Amino acid sequence: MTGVILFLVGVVTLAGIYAILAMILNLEAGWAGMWDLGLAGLVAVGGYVFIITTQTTHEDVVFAPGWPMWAGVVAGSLAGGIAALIIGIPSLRVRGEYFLITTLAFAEVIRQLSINLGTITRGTVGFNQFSRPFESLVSGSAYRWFLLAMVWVIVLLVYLLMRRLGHSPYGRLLRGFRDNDPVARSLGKHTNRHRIQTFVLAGLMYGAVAPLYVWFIRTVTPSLFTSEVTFVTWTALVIGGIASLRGPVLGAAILLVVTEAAALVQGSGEMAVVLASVRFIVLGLVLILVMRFRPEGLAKERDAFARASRRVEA
Amino acid sequence: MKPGLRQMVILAVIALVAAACGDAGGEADTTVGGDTTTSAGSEATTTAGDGATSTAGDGEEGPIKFGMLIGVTGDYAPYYDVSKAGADVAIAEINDAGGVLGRQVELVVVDNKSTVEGAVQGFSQIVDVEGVHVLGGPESDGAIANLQAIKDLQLPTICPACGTSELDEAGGDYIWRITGSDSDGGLIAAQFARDAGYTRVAMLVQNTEGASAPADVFKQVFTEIIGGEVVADVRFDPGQSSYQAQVDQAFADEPEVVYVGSGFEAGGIILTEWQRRGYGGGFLFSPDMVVPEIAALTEQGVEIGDGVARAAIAAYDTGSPAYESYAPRYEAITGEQPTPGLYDANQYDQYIILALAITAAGTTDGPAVAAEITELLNPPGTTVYSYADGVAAIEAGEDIDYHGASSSLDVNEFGNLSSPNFGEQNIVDGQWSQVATVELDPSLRP
Amino acid sequence: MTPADMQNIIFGLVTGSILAIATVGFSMIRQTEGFINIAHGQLLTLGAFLGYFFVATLEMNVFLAGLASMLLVGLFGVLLSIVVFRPVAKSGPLAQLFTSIGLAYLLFGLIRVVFGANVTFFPTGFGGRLDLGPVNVTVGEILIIVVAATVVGLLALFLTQTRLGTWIRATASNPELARLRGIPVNRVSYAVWFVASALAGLAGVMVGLIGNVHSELGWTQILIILAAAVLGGLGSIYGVLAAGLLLGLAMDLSALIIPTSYRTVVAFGVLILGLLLRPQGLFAAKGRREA
Repeated sequence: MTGVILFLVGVVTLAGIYAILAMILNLEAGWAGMWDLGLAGLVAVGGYVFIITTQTTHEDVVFAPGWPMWAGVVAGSLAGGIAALIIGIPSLRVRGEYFLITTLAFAEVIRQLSINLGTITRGTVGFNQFSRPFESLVSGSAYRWFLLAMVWVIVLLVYLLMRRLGHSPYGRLLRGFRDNDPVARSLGKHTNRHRIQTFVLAGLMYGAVAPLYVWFIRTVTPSLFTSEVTFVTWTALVIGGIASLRGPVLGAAILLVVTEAAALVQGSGEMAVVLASVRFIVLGLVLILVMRFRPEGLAKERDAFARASRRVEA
Repeated sequence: MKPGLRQMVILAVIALVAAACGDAGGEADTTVGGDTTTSAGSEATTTAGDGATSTAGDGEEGPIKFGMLIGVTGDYAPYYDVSKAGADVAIAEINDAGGVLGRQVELVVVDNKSTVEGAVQGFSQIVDVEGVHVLGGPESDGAIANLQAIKDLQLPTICPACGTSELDEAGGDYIWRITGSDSDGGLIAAQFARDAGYTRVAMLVQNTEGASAPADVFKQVFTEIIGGEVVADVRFDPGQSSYQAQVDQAFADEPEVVYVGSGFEAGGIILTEWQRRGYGGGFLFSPDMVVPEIAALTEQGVEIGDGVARAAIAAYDTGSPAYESYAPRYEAITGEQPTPGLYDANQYDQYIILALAITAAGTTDGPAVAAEITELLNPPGTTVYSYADGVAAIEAGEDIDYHGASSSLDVNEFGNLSSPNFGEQNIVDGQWSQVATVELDPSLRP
Repeated sequence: MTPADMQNIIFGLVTGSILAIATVGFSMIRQTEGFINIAHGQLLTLGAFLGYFFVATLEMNVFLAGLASMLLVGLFGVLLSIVVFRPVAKSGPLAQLFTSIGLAYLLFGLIRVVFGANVTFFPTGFGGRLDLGPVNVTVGEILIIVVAATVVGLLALFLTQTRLGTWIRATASNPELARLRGIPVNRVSYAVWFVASALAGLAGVMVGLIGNVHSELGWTQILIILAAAVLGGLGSIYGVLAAGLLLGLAMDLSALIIPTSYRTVVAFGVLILGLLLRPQGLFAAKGRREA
């Protein structure tokens, strides 16, 4: 039993990380109506900038300033924001699918660059030896509990921030723009500028939380930042309830715990190949069924925000 | 704050349900020891009061757990069946000889999905949930992803097939590599090119670590030490439907031979395209290309047989008594000969080594076991070729030097093979076969 | 222009033809059904595996096999539209998009259970190599280009010369108006799903023929299809065709000036550049409404 709990500590930590990602995604996609399929790219930018600026063990790279961790987090966050600005300016002029596809393309470009710019990213090998915050203070096995606590404290902080944002005039404005609300327009607000602001804010946050993922996995390679990260985050958000407040956390927790704990159930059988395929089948079915029977997800936007109640629509 | 609390409650419920399922699964899998394993294991951990020691401080009863963290699904899935067969031969041999320290040995297989994230989660599962005492099986990226954790947990680990250059100087304390490294692979390919008298070589290399690391060594050795010329160095991303432009570029300057460093997925496309256009010339293949899928292409009209395509891969020590005893047992399971390039004999060797190390240490305690490994692989000592012989020698108070089915397994201070065996492979009658053994020329080391 | 340039144009034409066929179907769904169908990529995978099964196991002629895959994948597409997509049609494009992502995972898993996760190659030769002055081309490549061109020609005839085709175009340009004018929406929808899925099946067989057949094929192709569709402006079928060809050429011609490891970066770079210059798509006839 102790062993199972230790394993679940990892699963719940990962779920927390995805909960944070899903909450940020909810800000840009749920409230501001920007369908970002490139969040893995922004996380990659944050993660890589953090590790490149802070690591000191790998010496075969041309740039290794060895900054303190807090500086690395700030740098990663800024880089995420700048990247969002660069993608946002051209692609947010047109809405909907164009943004969706540009961001998807951007994430792929980032991944390819991280492979090809080997002199600063160590190519496909990546970084695998680096220290984590407070590692000297917290002993080896307790560190997992420490990381769990740290991640979920941040989940709580981001949640409180989002609740504040969601109820603020700014949040109402975003949802107004999303729903093409004539009132929001008539106020003479610049839709586009607000969208870019929101996207940059999301970029800053993705960049800032990327180190959590890095500390959890303990390695940074291009294969970590595939579009699977994006799709898992989206699935969590959609299952939980897009544009609601609790939905992202709920969705991430359920999705990650169920899919990761499935590894325990399957054990070590010879049927693993089939079972691994069944995982995809179940994931797909869940998504299809949720969309069909509960397209608003488990938690609803109209419960979170008593005033505005809208269908799931761009 | 209320909603946050409610989520925590929901989470806790889910965790409990999952844990219950997990226990059920665990018992179902525990074929040898029954459910006493689970309780014995957890009591021990509770007493120790520290999660990390779940690997070291186990009860004195129940089977000793040998972990196998490996890609059952995903990119490495094609290697799984043969790897498992090699491991099964070892486990059966150990148990037939009376087990380790009087306890039976149980193989626990966990899928790492052939991904980094999967390797990290799988590692937690195999260590925390299954509580394995020693670990084998991982591929390069899985081993690298868990390198720090392996050292933190002091878990004796053997990597049967990792080529990665990241392990060139990282092992020897808790992790050993019992196959030739990618760096050596690149070196031996360069030696091939030199011995065949090639001076102008082109390269077609996939942008993945396993492919580009040996390719870089090849290029460095071939140009700087041997003094040849690389007329084109074409790199590509895997997963495309066509590589025409890249192939054309590689052959544009009419090289004498083309070095192909690639997985067989992209490599197969490249070869059909090469055949289609009739570029001619010859190939030097990286080890990843030495798989049945590539050899089978000759039956579809791709003319790479009979020495047109040559590869050097880690060879098995076929003259060794260990190999002679291993091969028929492997064949009885799979119906096939042991195949260099699939690393089945390395999978076998790793568990014999780990079992001998535990026997020599007289405990499953991680640091004590790890301390024995380098010693029992290297001379001096009585040379032994099987687990039973090794145990007998240890009980007689002798030092031992285990020679395995894959090689003599002498290692250096970093836990790497000091003189890996290589064999030249050609495609003959639609199958890869070893046509010669090759010794690595140390003067080529950069 | 050097021989290498011209040789790469031939490679680009082959890549582009296949990409165009794959993207046209994707784009038709987007136009008439109003959402992005991520599962389109998995229909390519299905087509490739079916084609391989017909050729390798049933030893069918490769043309017959291609035709049979088209037919089967087309019918399968119609089935999917009825069972999976129609029930969520009212929930808006986001729900449809995520239904299609769910379907993509579902099909991916099913394909792996049925066909396995191995990589296989069509046992089909590609005919001899023809030297045309400085460049060369194989018979198989000519056939792929010819088949692609024929299919596009037939599609254009179908869309302009038949009543059903006219309805499809009317629905594509303005679904609301089409409904008001009494166009049988269901029949149009079936027709579009059949044609689009059949084209995906054909593209899948072609991808399998020039490359290999494996279960991941759909995921890698859908990225490029998305890029080509956006570049073409999602709107006109000819725009999408042109974009597919252009992207194919760009990827293969880029090999001449920058390292080939940047091939995918080039595809998406072209896309981002295209969006910067003409946000409504390179070949869109007029500014499109916002989604």
